[in-house]
Amino acid sequence: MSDEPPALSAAELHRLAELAEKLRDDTLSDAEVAELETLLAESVAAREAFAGLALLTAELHHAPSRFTSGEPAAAPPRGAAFRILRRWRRPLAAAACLALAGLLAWRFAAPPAPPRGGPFATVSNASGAVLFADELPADTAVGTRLRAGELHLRRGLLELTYPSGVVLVLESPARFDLRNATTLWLAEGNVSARVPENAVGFTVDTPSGAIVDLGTEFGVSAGAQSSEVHVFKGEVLVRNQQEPDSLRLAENRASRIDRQSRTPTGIDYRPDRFIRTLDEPGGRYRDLIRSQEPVAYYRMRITPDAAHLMDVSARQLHGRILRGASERTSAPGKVGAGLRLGGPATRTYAVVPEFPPAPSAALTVCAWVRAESRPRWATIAKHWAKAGNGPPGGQFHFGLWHDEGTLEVRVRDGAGAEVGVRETEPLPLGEWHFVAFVVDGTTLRLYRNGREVAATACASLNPVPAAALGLGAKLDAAGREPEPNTPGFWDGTLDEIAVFHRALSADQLRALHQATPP
Amino acid sequence: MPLPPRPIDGEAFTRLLLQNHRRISGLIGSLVPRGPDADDVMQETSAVLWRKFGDFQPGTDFGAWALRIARFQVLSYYDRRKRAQARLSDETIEAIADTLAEPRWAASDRAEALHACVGQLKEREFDLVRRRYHAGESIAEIAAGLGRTVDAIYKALSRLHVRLLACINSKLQSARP
Repeated sequence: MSDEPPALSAAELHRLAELAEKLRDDTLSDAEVAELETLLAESVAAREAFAGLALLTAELHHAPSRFTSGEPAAAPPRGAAFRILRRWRRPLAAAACLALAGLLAWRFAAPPAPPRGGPFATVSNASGAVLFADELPADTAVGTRLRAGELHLRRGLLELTYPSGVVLVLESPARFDLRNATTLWLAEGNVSARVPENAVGFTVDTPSGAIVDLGTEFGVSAGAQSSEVHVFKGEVLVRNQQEPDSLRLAENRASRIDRQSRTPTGIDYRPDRFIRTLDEPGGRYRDLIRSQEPVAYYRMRITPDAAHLMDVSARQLHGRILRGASERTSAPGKVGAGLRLGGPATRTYAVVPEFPPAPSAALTVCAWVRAESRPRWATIAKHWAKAGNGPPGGQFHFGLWHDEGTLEVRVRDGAGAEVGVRETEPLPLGEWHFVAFVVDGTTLRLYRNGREVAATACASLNPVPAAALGLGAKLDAAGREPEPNTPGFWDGTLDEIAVFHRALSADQLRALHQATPP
Repeated sequence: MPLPPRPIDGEAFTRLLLQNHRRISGLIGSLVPRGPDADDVMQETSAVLWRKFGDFQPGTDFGAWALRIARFQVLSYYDRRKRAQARLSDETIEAIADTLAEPRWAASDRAEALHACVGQLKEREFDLVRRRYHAGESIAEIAAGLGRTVDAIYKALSRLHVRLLACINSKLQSARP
């Protein structure tokens, strides 16, 4: 360079380095701040040196190879807080996207640990996943290979497959680390694991203790205070370092391990707490629904962008999921995944534009629903526009009644009049219900869990369409946004919503109710 | 109506971030005292970069763009800081960010040069680096551990930094035509 700035003297350079280090430590006196300010303001060379020192210290906080070679590393205590398990990163190979090694590493005061290894697993599926590696966004495209390191799934779902055939489904929010080919460290969150025979021994390690697979399918939920394991199939071993005796946990059993005592205690088996696959399974229920040729069938299949509401019927009346404040919109459903909605707190719902009205007085809507609370006018499915200037559009208004929270349906008949029925007791919370209503040309019937619970006369249906079908919210007249006064957000999970332009019989609805395991 | 999430090319973002992250963490790490404040500024910066990535013009200098955002976050940090204590001026902070935004600082061979230079350190010097950056010991802890004064450790560390800087510069110079 021809225009080299006037160089600093050795003394100035040393002083600058010292002041810079004190600035990082926040131990500069006022006089020293003024000294540093003058130095930097007046000298290009000082700014150059400061920039060089900034990069140097950032780099030193990364992984100089000599740090991780040679010295044997003291293993971090097992089951200790996740923070201290942050490890030194190997120099960044440009390849793996997840080796976003230590953009923040300069701040990690970590004890020595082995260099990060891997890659150990590959992203085999994802839905709306927002993954952070070392607190920076990381790739979740299918095929991305993940190495050891601190990973934080902030949104969505991530399916990982190991070369051994182990498949994990992680649900956000989750903090985890792929320690090696056979161990997952789960600091927080839910994971379900499918472990093939040749990979027996796969371990999920949590702050409360390790869960070792003995050839099974299981789910682990890890938190700061305790961890839970639920065994779907086969058997697992619950182990911790203090206790010589491991707990063998059999199929359909669950245990909670307290972090302080490290003692496992039996709890109720709750397989519905875990998403076990990102695929929507088939089965008798689906086959029965399909045999009745639905106009639309929303299985709540998990989609890659988590924004697509997929209609698996022939007409493909797809919709959109509008995620309000929800971190993710999929949760374990009655069959496969369900659409998880959080009520007024998250304002998440789904819209199917231009949903066709039934051409005659034959209509059935059925769904599996689970409510966590009963927001006012909570919506299952509403094809409904408020009466305005013109004739009111829409045919049905299916959900919970006002603040009472009883299951309710009302339809608009051919004259535009509202005809409605409802149950007498509020919908029980925290459990799945198979709900349905049918218009058969003479009567409107309401069903819950295969039983007719209310009925009234109804001979026709309003032919005027509503702008859209709302799931989990009642839409405004334009069919785009929740109705401002009574949006009716659902708090809970909706699954397997099917609409038929025909009247299903009581027997058919009973059969559908019985077609899924309890 | 809440908008559906904007599609972001995560792969491109990751790649660009990888190429430039040392300058970003260098700027923040050198100006914001280490600890939770630096964590926060780093996280805020990452979040803003991610959020605003749609505004970034592909083909332009990502590092310069990211450093502008990081600089703003550093300035906001100083604005928020309650203690009315002396601090570097906004102009100086901006001048440092501008310096780091020059493309020559993005050279990836700096890391290699540093590794080589660290490899040449004497055992005592290496021990100091290891304590400070690997084990995360504070200056006071190092001083106590080595039976020396805090001031002596600051001096020893700054001498080390200057040596490493000179070593890197000479390696980079000799590697260039």
